Amino acid sequence: MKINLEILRVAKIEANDDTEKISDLNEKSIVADMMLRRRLTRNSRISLYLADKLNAFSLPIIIGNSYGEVAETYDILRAIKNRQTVSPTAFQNSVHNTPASYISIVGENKGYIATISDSSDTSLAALRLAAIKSFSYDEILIIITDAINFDQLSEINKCNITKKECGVGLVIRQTTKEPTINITMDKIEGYSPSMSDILSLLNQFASGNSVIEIDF
Amino acid sequence: MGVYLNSYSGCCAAGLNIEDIFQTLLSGTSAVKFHDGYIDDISMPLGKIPSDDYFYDLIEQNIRVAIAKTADFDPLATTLMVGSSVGGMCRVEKEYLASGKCVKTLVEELSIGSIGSEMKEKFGFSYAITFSTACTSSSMCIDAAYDMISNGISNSVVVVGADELSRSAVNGFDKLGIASHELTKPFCATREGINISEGIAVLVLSNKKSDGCMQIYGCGTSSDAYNITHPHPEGNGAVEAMEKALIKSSLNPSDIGYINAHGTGTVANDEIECLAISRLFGDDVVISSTKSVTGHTLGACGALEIAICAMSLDAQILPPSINITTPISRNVITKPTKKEFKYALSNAFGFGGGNTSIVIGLPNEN
Repeated sequence: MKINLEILRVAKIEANDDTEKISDLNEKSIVADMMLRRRLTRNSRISLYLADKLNAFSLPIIIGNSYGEVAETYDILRAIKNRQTVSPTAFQNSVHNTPASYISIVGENKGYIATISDSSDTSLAALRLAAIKSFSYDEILIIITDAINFDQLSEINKCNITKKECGVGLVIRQTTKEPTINITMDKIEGYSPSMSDILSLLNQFASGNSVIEIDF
Repeated sequence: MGVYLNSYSGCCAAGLNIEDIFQTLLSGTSAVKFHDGYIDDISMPLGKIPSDDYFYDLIEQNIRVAIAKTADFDPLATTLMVGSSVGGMCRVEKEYLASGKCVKTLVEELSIGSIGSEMKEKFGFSYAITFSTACTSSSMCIDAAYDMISNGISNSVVVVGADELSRSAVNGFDKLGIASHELTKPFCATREGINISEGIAVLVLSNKKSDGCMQIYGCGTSSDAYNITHPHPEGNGAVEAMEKALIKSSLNPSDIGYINAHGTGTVANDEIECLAISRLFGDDVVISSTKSVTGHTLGACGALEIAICAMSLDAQILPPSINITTPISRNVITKPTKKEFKYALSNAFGFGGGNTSIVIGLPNEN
């Protein structure tokens, strides 16, 4: 079966390079509760920024995250190794669906929230889930983030992946329009494979194409 | 289009196959044992799978068992959906905690998606989608699989729920103050928390009805939008998920003969789940928490407990909650109970406020 999805609107934010983090995610304006704001992970901050930009807090939410909350996971591992106390906040924030949950709390969204994590195929898997759920919902918010820029990453990772922070948000709906976007994407240097995939879609959207064919 | 559970397999502390797990549930003895080495200087009650096999090999074995029971199974025409909350975490733990540096482990191997990518490769599934939504992970897979099959997107979906015991999870739950240092007592007035466990469950769902199959009638999901670790105090999200599952199933609350509760054994979950159940079902429904025997298998629990519901429907025997001295609800059963029933409802609630309810039952005639 083939399901066509129309991209209705997009938002993107990224760091200038992999030596620094995204500087302004507008947290004070988006999250009024100071305690909640202080606890937000980087993925959550980026996701909240994108949901706000797209005015999409009330939509069903699908978050795609290749690596999850690696910085919080590292904090837990380091604490165990050093026989220190594991931070309860680090533990609750290490769960992959933390960003989706924070969006639902901030936006008082009691509907569908899901988090997908399929390494390099994360963006495509998130699009597939959006296609599956497009039978139940008119519009769906998809957010793909990478946020693994912390100093000790090399201690728990031997591979030379990019640390560049980046996030992309899309609002999509099912359509009968003919596909115009090529989902066999060319890799874009400097980003994770999953982020490269979704950025490729964004580039085609910027050229006036908006319909993706998801082939099951 | 009907969605049928044609075969299933699983393993957890209570047994190396689903039949043994069900017998352990009916025996009324906890499968959780005390283990050293997860938290410094404390022996913790944990549910470990009684096998020395590598966890990913156990997942592979369980997929083989489940698909072997399915006639004309074609992996190329089948979607793999994986639900896991820790994924490859234990690989990283072993290396990092031994040496303070991971020189072999890739971030990809730490990833939750490592289970899906390895099993897709081994079996040739058309593609994998991996959910990581804490304790609702594999229930969310069933919800999406239900949509895929009922909407004609795919004829066949294999759902895998899998989570391995990790020191990170055991320490994390302990520091949150919700890991019990005794055997867990869901729905008991003196309950102290969860027994963390590991588990694997594999469900083969399709649009074809086979002999002895069960039917998935409907799923409901919701979000509390309340707190990352604490459920909504009035159980609004849980009620909404159960209501949605009933509506999708075209059933009334009185049709449900048994609820396999999320029943983690934490003070908050059990009190609020009982409130939510009583708001929707009154005092007429029978509930139990099989986590009292298996422990809490985290992201695997949704799929594992659907397999347990299927066994229960097949045998027409309800598995009990154990370790209860003072029940907090009259609905909880503490002994194996023979009962004629057609429909069961299984709940899974998770960190972040995600709620999932699934109705499973004997298949309709037509």
